[in-house]
Amino acid sequence: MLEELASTFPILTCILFLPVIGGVVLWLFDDEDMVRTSALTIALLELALSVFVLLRFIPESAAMQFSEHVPWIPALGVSYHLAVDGISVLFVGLTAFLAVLIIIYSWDTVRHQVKLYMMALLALETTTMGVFLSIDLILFFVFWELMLIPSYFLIKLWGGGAERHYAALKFVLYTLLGSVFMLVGIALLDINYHQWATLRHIEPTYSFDLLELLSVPIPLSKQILIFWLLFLGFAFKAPVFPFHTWLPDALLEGPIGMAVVLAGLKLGTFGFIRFSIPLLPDASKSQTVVTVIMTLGLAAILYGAIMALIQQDFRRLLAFSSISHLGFVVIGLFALNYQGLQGSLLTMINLGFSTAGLFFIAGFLYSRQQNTQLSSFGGMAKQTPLLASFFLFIGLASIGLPGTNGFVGEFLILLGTLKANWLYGGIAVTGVIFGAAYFLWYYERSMLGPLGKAVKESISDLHPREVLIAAALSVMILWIGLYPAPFLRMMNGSVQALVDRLERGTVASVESDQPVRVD
Amino acid sequence: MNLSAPDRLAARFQAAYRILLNKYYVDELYDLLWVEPTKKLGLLLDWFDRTVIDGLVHAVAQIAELFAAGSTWTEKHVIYGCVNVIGYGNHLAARQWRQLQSGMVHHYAAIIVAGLFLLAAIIQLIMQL
Amino acid sequence: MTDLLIKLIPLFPLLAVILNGFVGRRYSHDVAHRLAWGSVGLSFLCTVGVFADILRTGTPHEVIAYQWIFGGDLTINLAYLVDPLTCIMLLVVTGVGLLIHVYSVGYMHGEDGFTRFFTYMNLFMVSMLLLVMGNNYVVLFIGWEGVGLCSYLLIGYYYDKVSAAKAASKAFVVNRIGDAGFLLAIFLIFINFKTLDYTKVFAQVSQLSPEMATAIALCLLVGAVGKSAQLPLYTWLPDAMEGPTPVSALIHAATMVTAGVYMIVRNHAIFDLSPTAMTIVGVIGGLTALFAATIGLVQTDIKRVLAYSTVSQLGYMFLGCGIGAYTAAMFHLMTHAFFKALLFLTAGSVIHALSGEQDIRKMGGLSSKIPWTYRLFLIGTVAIAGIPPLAGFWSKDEILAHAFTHHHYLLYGMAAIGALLTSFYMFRLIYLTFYGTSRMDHHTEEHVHESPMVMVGPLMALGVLSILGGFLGFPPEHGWLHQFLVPVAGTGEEHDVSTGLVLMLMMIATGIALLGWASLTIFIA
Repeated sequence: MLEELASTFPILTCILFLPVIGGVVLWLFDDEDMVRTSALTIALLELALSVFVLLRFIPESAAMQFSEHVPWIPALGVSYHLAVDGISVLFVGLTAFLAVLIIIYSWDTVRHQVKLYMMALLALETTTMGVFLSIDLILFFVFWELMLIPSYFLIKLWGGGAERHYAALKFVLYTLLGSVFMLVGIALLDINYHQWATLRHIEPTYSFDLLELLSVPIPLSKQILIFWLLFLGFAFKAPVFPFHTWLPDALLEGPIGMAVVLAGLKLGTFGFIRFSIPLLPDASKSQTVVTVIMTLGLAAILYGAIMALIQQDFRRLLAFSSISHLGFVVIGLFALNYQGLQGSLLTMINLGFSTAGLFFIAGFLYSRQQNTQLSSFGGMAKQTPLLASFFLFIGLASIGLPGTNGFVGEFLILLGTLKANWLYGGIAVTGVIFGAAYFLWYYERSMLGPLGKAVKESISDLHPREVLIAAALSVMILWIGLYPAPFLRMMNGSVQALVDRLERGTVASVESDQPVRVD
Repeated sequence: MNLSAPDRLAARFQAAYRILLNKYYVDELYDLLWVEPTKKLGLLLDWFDRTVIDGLVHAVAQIAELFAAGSTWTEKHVIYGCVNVIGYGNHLAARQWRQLQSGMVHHYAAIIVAGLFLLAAIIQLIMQL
Repeated sequence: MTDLLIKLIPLFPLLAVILNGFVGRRYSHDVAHRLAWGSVGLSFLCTVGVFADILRTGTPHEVIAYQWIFGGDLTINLAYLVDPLTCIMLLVVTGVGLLIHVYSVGYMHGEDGFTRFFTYMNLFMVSMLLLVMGNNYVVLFIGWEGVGLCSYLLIGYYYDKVSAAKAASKAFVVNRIGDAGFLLAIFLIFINFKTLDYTKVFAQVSQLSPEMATAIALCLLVGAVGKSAQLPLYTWLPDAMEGPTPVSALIHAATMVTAGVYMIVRNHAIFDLSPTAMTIVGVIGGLTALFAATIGLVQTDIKRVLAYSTVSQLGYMFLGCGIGAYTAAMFHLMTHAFFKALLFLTAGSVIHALSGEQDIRKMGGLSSKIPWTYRLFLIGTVAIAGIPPLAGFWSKDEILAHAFTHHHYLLYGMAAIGALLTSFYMFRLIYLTFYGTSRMDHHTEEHVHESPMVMVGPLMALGVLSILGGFLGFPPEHGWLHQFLVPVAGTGEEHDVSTGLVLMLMMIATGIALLGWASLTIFIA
C-alpha cells in the first residue's frame, strides 16, 4: 500500500473545480473582451495553484500527496478520492500551462460565440484535471466520459473543416466504445476486490479505490482479461495504432485549441502507467501482452513516421507524428524497466510542449493562410523569420535533438527498450531517422526556398501574443532539455515504486505483506 | 597550357569520364533504392489508412447503426409510448430535446446497452469459473 | 584553476550565441563580429592555459558541471574530461576556429544575416567543444548532434536557394542515420558497463566479449561514417558546399567532419578488441580515400574538388585508425585541419575576388592578380599533395608507412594510388585556377581584387602552420605529438623497422606526389 499524505487545505479540489466554476461565472458577462480577460484570469489562477502544488510536492517520493478522501457512494465503495504522485503531478502543471496558452491563442482567432467557447474550454480543463487527479476508478471514469462533452462541442462548433461534424462524432464514438470495455474492466477489478475482501472480512467489501485495489492479489488469468479490457479503453483514446483513425480527422477538422489538448495531453498512455501497469503487473509482463503491445508500438513508430513523410497538410502530418511519438511512449512503458517508464513519462510531458507547440505553429500558419496545406506555404522564412525560427526550434525538439526536452525522453525510452529487448530497441532506433526526415522535409518545402506562389509579400510575422506562446514553450523545451533534474526528481520515487511493484507482482506483494515501497 | 588535352582525353574515355563526372551516380542510386521507395510506401500506407483501417471502422459503425436503429424503434414505440401515457406535453418536450441531440444519443445508448450486456455476460462467465 | 578554465572554454562562445542571437539585431555588425571572434579567442586562450597545465603535470582533468539525466541505475553528468587527446582537439578547434572567425569578418562583410552567421558559427563552436570535451558518451552525443544542427543551419544559410535548403536537409538526415548507429552503441555500452563515463568504461573494457566488442565498435563506426562522410554515407558532404566558404573550411573540412576520427581514437580500446571491426574501418577508409579521389579528378567546381579531397583525406585517417595507427590518424587530422582550412579559405578568397564564381573552367591566370592568395593556395596544395617538408607529407607518410610495415599491403596500395590522384587533382586545380590565360568574362575580370588583410592575415597563419605543422610529429613515430598522445593512444606494439625502410617509404611517398604533379603537367602541356 502506498503511503498517503493528506493535505490540510483541499487544494486539489480547488484545482479541479476552479475552471468549471469560473466557466459558470463567465456566463454572467456579455462583453466579449471581459469574457476573454476573465477566462485568462481563471486559467492563470489555475496555473498558479498548479505551480504551488508542484513546488510543495515532495520529490523522490512514491507517496500519494495532497490526498483528499470523502466517501461518495459508500454502498458501492465509490469515493471522491483525489491525490497526486510522481506520475500525475506533472500533468496537472502541464494541463494548466497549456490551458493558459490556448486561451491566449484563442484571443483573436476565435471570433464567434466566444463566451461558449471559453466555457467549453474551461469545462474541458476541469474534466482533464479530474482524469489526472482521480484515484478512485469510478471518479476517474466519470471525468473520462465527461471530457467528451466539451470536446465534442469544441470540435463541432469551432472546428474549421467542412467535415467537423463527422470528426466530432467519430472522436466521441471511438472513445465511448473504448470506455465501455474499460468500464467492464473496472467492474471486474471491483468484483475481484470484493471476493478477496469478503474472504478476509475486510471492510469495505467493495472498493474502486486505486490504493485499495493495489492491496489485493489478482489471479493472472483474470489480470490478463482485465488488462485487455482496460487496454482497449486507453488504446482508443491514446490512440495506439491501429485504433488511430479518429485522430487525424479530429486534429484536422477541430479548432487548434482542441488539437493542442488532444495532441499535448496523452490521456490514453497516462491510463496505462496510472492504472494498467501498477494494478496488473503480472499481466503487464506476461509474454503475449508484451509481444503484442511492443509490436503495436513499433508499428506505430514506423507507420506514423512514414505516413508523416508524405503528408501535404501540416496538421495531418502532426497527427501521424503524434502517432509515431505515442509508439515510442508505448514501447517505453512496456519495456517495464526504470529507464523505459521514466522516459515514457517524461516524453508524455514533453509532447505537451513540442507536439502541442507545433500545433500552435500550425495555428499561426492557419491564421495567416487560412489552411495548413503545403501548397499555401513556401519560402516563408524570409517574410516571417520569427515564425520560421520557432517552427524549426520546436520541430527539432519534437524530433529529439539533444539539448531539447525531446532528447532526454527519447534517449531514456530507447535505452530502456534496448535493455529489455535488443530487437525492439534496434527497430525503434530507426524511428529517429524518419523523424528527422519528415520534419525537415516539410520544413524545407514550407519555410525555405523561394517565396511560394500563394504567400503574400505582405504576410506578417508573429505578433506579440504569438511570440509569447512560442517563447513560453521554448523556455520549457530548453529547461527540460538542459536541466531536467527537477522534473526527474518529481517522478523518480513513483517510477521506482512502479518498478518494484512490477518485480514483485500482485500476489507476492500481498503475501509477503510488505509495502510496495519502503521509503 | 593546352586545355584541349582534357577534352580529348574525356572524349576518348567517354564512359569513364561521364561516370566520374556524375560521381558514380551514387545519389541517383540512393534515390532509387531508398528515397523513392519510402515515398511510395508512404503513399501506399496512406491509401491503406484511408480505405482499409478507416473502412473497418466504418463497417463497425454500420453495425452500431443497426443497434441504434433498434434502439430508436424501442425509444419510439416503447419509451415514448410510456411517455404518451404520462402526457402529450412531455412527449413534445422529449422530442425537441431529441432533435437537439441529433443522432448522438442513439449511438451512446446503443453502445452503453451493448456494453452492459457484455459486462453481464463476462461477469457471469467469471462467476462460473 | 585549470578546472575553472575548462569550464570557461565552452562558456565564452555560448555567451556570444546568447547575446548575438537575442539582441544582435540591436547593435552594429562590428559589435557582433567582435563578440563572435573575441569569444572564440578567449576560449583559445583558456585552452592554451589548460594545455600548458597538462603539458606540465601530465594528468587529465575531469570536471563535473552538473547532474543532467539520472534515475535508477543511470547517472549522466554534464562533465568534461581534458586529457592529451582532448587537448589536441581543443587546440585545433579553437585555434583554427579563431582564424576562420577572423577571416569570416572580411568574407561575410555586407552579407544579409551577418549576425545570424556568427551566431550559428559560435553555436557550432559550443557544440564542437562539448563534443571533444565531454567525459561521457552522452555529452559527446550532444555535441555530435549539435554540430550536425549547426551544419544544417549553415549549409542552409542562403535558405532562399532551393539547392542550399535541399543540401541542408540531406546533410541532417544522412547524419541521423549515423547518429542512430551511435545511439545503439551508447545503449550497448551502458548495458555492458552500467556506466557511460569514458574512464569507467575503459577501465573495465577487457571484460567485454569479442562479439560484443565487435557489435559496439561497428555501431560506433556507423556513427563515425555518417559524421566523417565515409562510404557509403559520404554523399552529404559535397552538397554541403552550398554553405558560405568559411563554413566549409571550419565545419566541413577542419573540425566537424573529423569528429568521427576523434570518436574512433577515443574508443580505440573497444576497437582494439575486435579485429573484424578494425579491418572494416581500414577498408572503408582505404576505399573512401581512393573512391573520392577519382571523383575529384573531373569536378569543375573549386569547392567540390576540395570537398571530395576532404572525403578522401578523411579516408586516410580512417585507414590509419583501422591499422591501429591512432597517433598517425590524429596527426593527419591536425595537419589536415591546417592545410584544408587554408585551401578552403584561399578558395574563398578566389571566389571573393571573382565576385562569387566557383567554376574553375571560368578562371585561369589569376596568379599575378591575386598573388598572396595564389602563394598560400600553392602552400596548401603542396602540403596536401604530400611533398616534403610540408605538413601533409609527414602525417600522410606515417599512415602509409605504418600500413606497409604492418603488412597491410592492399591498404597501402589503395592509399598510394589515392595519394597519386590527390596530387594530380590538386595541381590540376592550381593550373586551371591560377595559370594559363584568363577564361573569365570581362565584367568579372575587371573586378578581380586581392582580399583585405583581415582575410589574408588568418591565411598566412594557416600557411605557416601548413608548412611547419608536420614537425610536431618529427621524427616519424617518435615526435613530440607521439610522446604527448602516449597516455591516450598507447605506444602500439614495438616494431622493428629499419631506418632504411622508413627512408625508402618516404622517398616513394615523395615520388608518388611528384609523379602526380608531373603527370598533370605532361597531360596538360
